[in-house]
This record gives sequence, structure tokens and C-alpha cells, in this order.
Amino acid sequence: MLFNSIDFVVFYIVVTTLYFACPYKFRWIVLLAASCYFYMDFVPVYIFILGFTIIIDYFAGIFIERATEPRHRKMLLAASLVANIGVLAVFKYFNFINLNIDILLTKFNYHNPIPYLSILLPIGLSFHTFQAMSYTIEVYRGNQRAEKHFGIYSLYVMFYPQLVAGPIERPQNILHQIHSKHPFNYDLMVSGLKMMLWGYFKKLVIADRLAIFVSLVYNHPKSYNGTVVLIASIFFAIQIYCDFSGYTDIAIGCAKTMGFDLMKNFNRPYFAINIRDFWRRWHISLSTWFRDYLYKPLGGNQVSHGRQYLILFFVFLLSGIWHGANYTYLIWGALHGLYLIIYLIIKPCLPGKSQNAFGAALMRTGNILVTFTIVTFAWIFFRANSVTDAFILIRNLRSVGARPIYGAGTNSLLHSLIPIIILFMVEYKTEYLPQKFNFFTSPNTVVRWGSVMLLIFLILFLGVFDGPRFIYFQF
Amino acid sequence: MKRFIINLFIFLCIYLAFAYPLQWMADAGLKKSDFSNEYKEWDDITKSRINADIIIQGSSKARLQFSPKDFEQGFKLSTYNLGMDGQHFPMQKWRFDVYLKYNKKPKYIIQVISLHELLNPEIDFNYTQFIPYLNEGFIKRFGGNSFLNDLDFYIPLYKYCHVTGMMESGLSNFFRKRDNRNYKYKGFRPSPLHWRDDDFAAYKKQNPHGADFYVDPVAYSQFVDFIKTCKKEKIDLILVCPPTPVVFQNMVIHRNDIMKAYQNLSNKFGLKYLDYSKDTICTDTAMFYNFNHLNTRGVAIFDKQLINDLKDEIK
Repeated sequence: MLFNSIDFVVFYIVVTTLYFACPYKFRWIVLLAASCYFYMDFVPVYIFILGFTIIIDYFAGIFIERATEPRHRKMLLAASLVANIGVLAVFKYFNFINLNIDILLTKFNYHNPIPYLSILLPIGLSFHTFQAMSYTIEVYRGNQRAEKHFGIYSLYVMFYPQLVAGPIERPQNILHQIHSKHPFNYDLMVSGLKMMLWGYFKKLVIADRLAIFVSLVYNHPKSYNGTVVLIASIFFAIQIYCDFSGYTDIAIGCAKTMGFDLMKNFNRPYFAINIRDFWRRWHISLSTWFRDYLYKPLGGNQVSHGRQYLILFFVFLLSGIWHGANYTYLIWGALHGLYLIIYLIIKPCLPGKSQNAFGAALMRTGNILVTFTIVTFAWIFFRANSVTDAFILIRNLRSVGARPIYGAGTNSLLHSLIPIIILFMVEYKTEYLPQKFNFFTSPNTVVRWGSVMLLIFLILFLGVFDGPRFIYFQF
Repeated sequence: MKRFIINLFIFLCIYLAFAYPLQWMADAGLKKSDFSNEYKEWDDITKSRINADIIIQGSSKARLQFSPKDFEQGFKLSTYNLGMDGQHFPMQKWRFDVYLKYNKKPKYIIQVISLHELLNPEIDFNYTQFIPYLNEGFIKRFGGNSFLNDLDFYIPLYKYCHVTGMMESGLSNFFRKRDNRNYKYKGFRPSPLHWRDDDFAAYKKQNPHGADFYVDPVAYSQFVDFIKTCKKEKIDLILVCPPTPVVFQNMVIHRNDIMKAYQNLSNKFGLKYLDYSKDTICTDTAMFYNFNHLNTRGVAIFDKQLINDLKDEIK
């Protein structure tokens, strides 16, 4: 069930009504049943894969807590991680690895006897697997008590708003919320609904509109000159942000209406002043996951510079491949790893803060533009259908300045500009003027209601309702 | 909770107060737009502007090949072409029922028949033609069909959400004086395109074992009912099978069975049946623009011959 479908709207209304109509002690059952239905709406049989990892991690958590020997605890954690990573490996990476073996063996005139698996990737596999892993790791570290209630633990992994595309929650944040009572709260309900509406605006009006033009260019890389590729690449940077953060807004808003507080996943990433700042603002739940469970345990910044850079690069390679079994994602991850290493090397040589306001603003703008440019460049690999396509697009970028060639979708392109301007005005306001122009929360009812109504009509008027599913669903 | 419900109710009322006028404007704008090439005909039907003596009915094979102007000159009777792109007989019949609701019954119906007419009655093609008319009553009977759902009828503006740009097009056309609708003459517009061998080769490649057609029992029974209704209403029904290129006929698997079904029906009910699929025009692909339709040149020749053949039938 896609968030951008009428089915979901009906589902959400029914589930939320049932949730508040039920006594507190039964609410977890409502949410768990709803989450199962939500997940099974995609490919029903994959609920068993989810069930498998839930059972493994549930018992792993309990046994890790009970185990007194550090060796036993370690073994139990390893068993849980192997099970989770094993599921990921089979469903997400098996065919990719097999293909590479195939290519390698063919070069030496050998036949690859391993057959390919003809399976569909379970929706949101990487998200719920990582969330499940964070539970056993936290129990192992002693930061979280093992959850004894199987239903509550299942809901921790399956909570439908964040089941298929995050945010990847930590048990410390969400488990106690599932145990808590959440009475109906007017303010939470209204602000949650407004957040969902803003998420729909980002997804339907901006992301899906831009997708029309972006797909046109990226699916025919040879047909477009540099100017078009440049526009499409910038648009993809905006598209993927609006698509993913739009999904996150809907997820967080949806949970909020029921009294749950999910972690922040985006913090206006395109206002980042350097690449490290970008990763503090982009897909926060994933970047902190890698930081807490991989980067720091491997040594983090407590080791020599050379080793730290190696660890960083490795973590970003993994982050790239986390997105999908494709060299395009691997290169994307590698690029970001390189960006960060270069940033850390040149950081001591970078000029300090300017003393006057104008100079500081100018420097900040320059930094934002440089960061946006390198991030957008890396997105080319992320979006391209293959590495070859990515290089064709980059080669075409050399002809920037030539007369743009627009095809179908030009109209869409023009209609995209107004919502993009609205988006950046809102983001700018939130970043630099957080206390001003808060139309959504204005004490004036006409302004508050009017802005919500306007957003609804903008979605109806400019929305793309037959657009693609959320990009991050595939991960 | 009470406060939330009251505020939600007030908010919905305000939404409806804005949404209904907007929907009315978008509907009106769409009807004079070219978003679907059928709006002009639907407007003619629902505003009782047709009242023709001769109705030509069928799919695109009717719309592209039967010129009302030639019929009017040939028979001195008003003629209108109700041919609908891509629609099989059940949809054609439904449109005719709507036609009868707003217009007088015709004296003659020329029902264009082909291999496609009696296929599955599922209606999911070109449904944008219905959107601006959803709230006008006559289309409600289709509420249970696959291309529409109940929400389309009851939530204002929701019906435009299926197709990107539809509401946009409706509202922008509402403020335009110019009528952007199609340039068909009484539902007819021939195609000036030429036959392309590579297009047909591609079609053949897509159907390496030949093109298979069948008779759907639901469509067939509706067709029989329609014949009976015409008999009862004393409307002269004439079945016409237009020319199709021989190269296409040769690759159709159950062609004879389907044509025989039409022949049997015409014998059983005593209907005039004209089959041009064996005509010499069928051997010349230059008269067609694809395997289904004649082009402008072919239409001129075919219509002349058809009108001549119908001289004794239509008076």
C-alpha cells in the first residue's frame, strides 16, 4: 500500500479511528494487525521473512540479556546479525554477486553453475532489517532491556508508518512509546496531519512532477545535451529530497497523530555548508546507524588519520551498497566517502568565519553552493540506470551552455518551478527565520486554515497522482 | 476529540464551498478543451443537438471511415457518426442509449462490425472523456466499472486526480474564449497518414502466431439485444464490415468464425449485411494507414461505393 494512494488514506482513517476507539491495552493489537495488513498489501508471502527475523531477534534479545558469559552474549549477537544480514544477502545481493561471478568466470571460459534466484525484493527490507539489528546491538550493549512481550517487539519492527522506508528507529526511542498510553491529543493530531499534508505536497507536487522530466533525460542519456542534463540532475537532487523527505514527513506525521514521536530524518540538507554537515542533515537515521554501529566500533576518530579515512571510505561504500546491489550505488557511496576524506584533509586550511555579516553570508552561500554541486554530481550515479549511462551523462555535461533540447515534459517542468520556489522559501524560513511567517501555526485562524486549504488545492491542482512509488521503497 | 471533530467538520464545509465551484469551472473548461477527443460529441449528444436520421455506430473503424457529409449528400438525410475510439460494442451500445435519452430515435443505424466489436466489454480506455460528465446523471450507471470508483462521484475534485494535468487543463480552458475541441465533422475525421510497412512488420513480430480474436458471450448477447431493440423500435439496422487489408486478414486466426457469427445474425433477423472485407480495395495497402483503418484516400473511395450500395436500402 503506497502512501500516495487513496487506499492508504482510507486505511489511515480506519486504523487511527480504531486505535483511539480501543482501550489502551488493546491498541498494540490494532497497530500490529494494521501493520501486517499494510505490509502484506505489497507481497503477502514476504510477511514470513519479516516473521523469521522478528522471531530470531526477539529470542536473541532475551538470551543475550540472560547470558552471563561475554562469549555467549557475543555468539548470540553474531547469530542474530548473521540471520539478518543473511536475509539481506539472499534477497538483495545474491543475484548481484552471482552476476559478477558469472562475468569473471566467463572471462576465463568457465561456466557459472550457480543459478539465479527469481525473487522479488521484499519492500523496505534494508530498513526493517537495520532496525531489527539495532535492537539486538543495543540489548547487547546494555543500553536497552530485552522486550519480553512478543507482540510489542513485533510492533517495534513492523510499526506501519516507518516499516518500509524508515526512519530507522532505535529501540530506546520507540519501545517505551509503544508501552505508553497515548490519549487523544488535539495539538498532536493537527500538527501530525499538517506534517502529512506537507509530505504529500513534496511527493505529489514536486517529486513526481520532476520525475517526469528527470526520467525522460536519465532514460535516454544520449539524447540530451549538457544544459538539459544539468537541469535534470539538479531536478533529481530536488526530486529525491522531496520524495524521501516527503515520505518521512507522512510517516512521522502519521505516527504523531497517534501520539508517537519518530526520530527526525531530514534537516534541510541542501542548506548544508559542507559535506559533513550534509550527512548530519540527510537520512539522519541511516547515517547515525552507520556511525553508531559501524564507524565508531571500527575505531571512528580515535585512530590514526589514515585509518580513520579508510574506515570512513569503507562505511560509505557499505552505505552505497545498502541502497541496492548495483555499481551505481557503490560509486555514489565511494564518492561521498572521498568527499568526506578530502574535507577532513583540507579542513585545517579552510578560512575561518568572516568578521562582518556580509562576508559571513557570502561565505555561507558559497559553501552551500559548493556542497550542493558535489552532492548533485554524486546523485548522477545514484539515478543513472547504469555506470555507462552515468558516464555518458557526465560527458554530455561538457556541452553546458548549448541550446537546451526539451522533449515531452517541458510543461511539467514549468509547472514545477512554483512548488520548488514555495519549498525553498519554506526551507529558508525554517533554517534562518524559525520564529517568523509560521502560517501553519499562526494564531490567526484565517491565516492558519487558509494556508492549509491552499496547500490542499495546490496538491489537487498540481499533483501527479499516477506517479511512481517512493524511490526509497525499493531499498 | 470533540473540538477536533467540530473543527474538521467546519474545515470540510469550507473545502466543499470552494471545491464545488472549482469543479464546475474545471468541468466546463474541459468540455471545450481537447483533453479528450470525444468532448464535442458528448456535448452534442447531451445537449440534444444531433437528432439525426442516420446514425453511424462503431469503434474507430466507424469514426475514421464513415463520412456523415457524404451520407448527407448521398441520401439527403441528416447523419451523425457516433464512432468511439477503442471501444467495443457494449460501450457503443451504452453511448447509443444515452443518445436516445437526449435525441430522437434515428431511422437508420449503420452498425460497423469488425473483429474487435464483440471482444471483452471491460471499459478502461480513454476514460478521460467521461470525467467532466460524471456529475450529470447519465454516467452514474457506470459507477461500478473499473475505470471509476464511487469517490470520483462524491468527493469534489477527486475525479481529476487519476490523470495528471486534467484539472489544470480544465481551469485554464475555462478562462479561454477559444474553443479547443476537436475538428471532427459530426464525429468523423479521416486520417491523412500513409501505410508503413515497418509498422505492420512490427505488429506481425508482436504476434508471431497470428492475431487472435474471439466472441465474448456478454458482448454477443448485448449485440443480440440491440438488434431486437432496433426491430422493436422499427429502426433499420444495417451491418457493415469495412475493408481491412488482406495482409492483416491472412494473419487472423479465428476470422471466419467471427464473420460467420455476424452473417448468422443477419440471416436470423433479416438484416442487411454488407461485407467489404473481400473487396479489391483490401489488396491495396496504399488505401490504408494501418491494418485496421483506411486513410483519407481509401475512405473517399469506400464511402462512395457504400453509399451506392445502400441506395435501395436508405430512402
